[in-house]
Amino acid sequence: MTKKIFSILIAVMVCLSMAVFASAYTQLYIYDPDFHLTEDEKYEIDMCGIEIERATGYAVLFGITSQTEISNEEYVESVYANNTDTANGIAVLHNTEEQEYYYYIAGDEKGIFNDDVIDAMITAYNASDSYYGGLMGFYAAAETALEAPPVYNTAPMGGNAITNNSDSYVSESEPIERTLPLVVDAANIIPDDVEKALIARCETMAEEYKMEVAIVTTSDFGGLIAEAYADDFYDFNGYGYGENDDGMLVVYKPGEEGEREIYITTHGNGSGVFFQGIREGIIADMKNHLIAEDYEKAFNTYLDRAEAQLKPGTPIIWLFVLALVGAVVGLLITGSMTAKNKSVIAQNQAKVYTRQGSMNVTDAQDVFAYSFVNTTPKQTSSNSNDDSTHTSSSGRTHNGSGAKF
Amino acid sequence: MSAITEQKCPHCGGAVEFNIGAQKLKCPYCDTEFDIAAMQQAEDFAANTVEQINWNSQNSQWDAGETDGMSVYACKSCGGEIVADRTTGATSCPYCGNQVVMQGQFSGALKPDLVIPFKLDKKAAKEALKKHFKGKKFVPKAFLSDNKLDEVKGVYVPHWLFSCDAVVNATYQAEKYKHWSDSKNDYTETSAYNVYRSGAIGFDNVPVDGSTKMPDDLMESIEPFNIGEAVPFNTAYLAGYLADKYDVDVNQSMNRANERIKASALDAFEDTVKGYDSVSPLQANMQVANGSYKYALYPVWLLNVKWNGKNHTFAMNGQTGKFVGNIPTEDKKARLIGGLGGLAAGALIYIIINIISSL
Repeated sequence: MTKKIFSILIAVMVCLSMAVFASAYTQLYIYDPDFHLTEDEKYEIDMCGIEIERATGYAVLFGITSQTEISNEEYVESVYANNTDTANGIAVLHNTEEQEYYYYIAGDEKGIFNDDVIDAMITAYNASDSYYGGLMGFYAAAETALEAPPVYNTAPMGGNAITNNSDSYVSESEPIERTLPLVVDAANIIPDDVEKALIARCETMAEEYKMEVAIVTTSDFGGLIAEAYADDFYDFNGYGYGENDDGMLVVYKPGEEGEREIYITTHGNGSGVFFQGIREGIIADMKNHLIAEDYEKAFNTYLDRAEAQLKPGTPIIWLFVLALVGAVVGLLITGSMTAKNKSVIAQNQAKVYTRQGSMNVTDAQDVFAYSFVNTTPKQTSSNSNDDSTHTSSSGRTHNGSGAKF
Repeated sequence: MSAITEQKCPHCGGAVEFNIGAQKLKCPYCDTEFDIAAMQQAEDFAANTVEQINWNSQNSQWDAGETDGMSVYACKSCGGEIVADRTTGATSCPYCGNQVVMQGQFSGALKPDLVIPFKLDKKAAKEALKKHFKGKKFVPKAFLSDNKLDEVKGVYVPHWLFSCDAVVNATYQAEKYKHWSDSKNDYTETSAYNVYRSGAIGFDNVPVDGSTKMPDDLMESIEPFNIGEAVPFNTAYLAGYLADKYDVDVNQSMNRANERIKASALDAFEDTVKGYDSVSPLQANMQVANGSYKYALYPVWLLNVKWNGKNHTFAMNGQTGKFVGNIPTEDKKARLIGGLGGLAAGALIYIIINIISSL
């Protein structure tokens, strides 16, 4: 009897452990209703999916099917929705009947899954003769993309490649939460310890002055001009403090002489505080440090100037301006006082001795001689542009200044 | 057969050529086109601008015995000669304050045509001097307290008075500008005109100081005198005053009169060139018609103030009371106070703004 009870207990424990094991598999990364893979192969692939999600927070799923009952777009979305709750991720569907690929992107707040990345993942999948080999290549490509420096949003968030509701207007009443840090070094030019210090300083400034001052480096504007890139980065990644998204963001693209480009965009109260003269002054002060690749000095100069402008009271530069203007006015006043002491002045005219009514013009001719047109090209924005107010692709209002050097 | 001459482009200075298509002169360097008639007219006008100035006079001569009561005094220091009637006498030079000695009976020189009698007395001159110092800034304190009114002399200062009709021939380059833009360029169209003006304008009794001892700028500074109150000269007007003999003759004085008349005549004609965005004189000539001159004595109170071993001369128009004279000024102190005071005021404004903004 005791032996029987023991056997039942063992059986229950085995069942429980099976159940626990089974629960570990409630989140499957590979969906294979047509059994192209063995259970061991699925397990291996799931392990890859688990590891990627643990390391990056992104779920990467793959489905292989020949069904045609519902649309491929709905199918791939259901693969993602039925198998994971993870906010950020991708599901790719291989329709073996059509030999076509479909994908669904969820969240993707880091902007990882652009067309190039997805192409690389599918290419890796196709590189092997077996489904298993292809899937291992697919997950390896996904892992590489997710661990590489992210490509940030310069397009509306929340869209996906298939059901792209491309409403590009960012409503002021529906603010986007910022998920990126205040310093994004996508060009990988700022040493890590410097980057950390800059982030800490930016965060302190944001809290103290209720104004987000951000730094972005990039090696590529993704086909946009600097102004559009900076504006979109600001808008679509949720930068700015408070209800009005007050702030300033500098974007810097390193390069050879003549290819370096910098642009400062401002929004909300940031446009009032960091007006054109200040923005241009900041760029002028940063330029030499950027050319010398001393990014610590360059970006600290940017934050110094920003902080000087944000500190309560009038910026110190105005002390010099007011003092200089005062000195000039003072000299003019004392100059006019001393001028009164000198009253001996030669008279070089004889107007006062003109005989009244004697002016007689006997010949007056105005003859057209020639005319010419001078053409001056309007200043372009390549060298130093400023702007007055402009509207970004999101429909929001920005101000900005930039330079290429 | 007319000579071949090279025409210069008035816009860029290049040699212009005749363009058959346009039937106009065209500059191959700047593409500017010119009307041939306009170019010819400009040349004709330039050729007709020879300056010619003539003056006439009908000066009076002294009558027999008229100068009998007048003595000449010479200054030992500056060499100036002054005239005074015997009842007035003279002890010191009105220009430099040094002693004068009588040289003898007045003789020679022209007789003045006109004299403007003194209307204001010595007392008025002294009060005007006090008023002149009042309210002046950056004057050395020692000057205000220690200056010594050394001499106040009423002097008839010799002046040559020139009258004429100034006949003017002037050419101006006048331009009108039109601005417009498109998406790529800004455009400015300049339309140039040759503007000619001829005519005459009259000037009466333009005075030129005829005394070398009297600084010209000092005399010009107390102008104008009202010539309407001038009377034919009579030695009786000299009683109680000194008089200076002219030692700058009329020929030397003409240049100054011409300068002043020409400047005002050309200005008057330039003022008739209207409706343009810019006007610049290209060529301007003046001829004098009906030119005449007179010799007159103008009443001037001279006040010599001694300070720090130096003589400072002030002058008052003896007819109108206009008072002039440079007062010693501490220019360096003025600049220092102005500069530093302004700096401090600017800094104070900055502090106040900061205090207000922090409230």
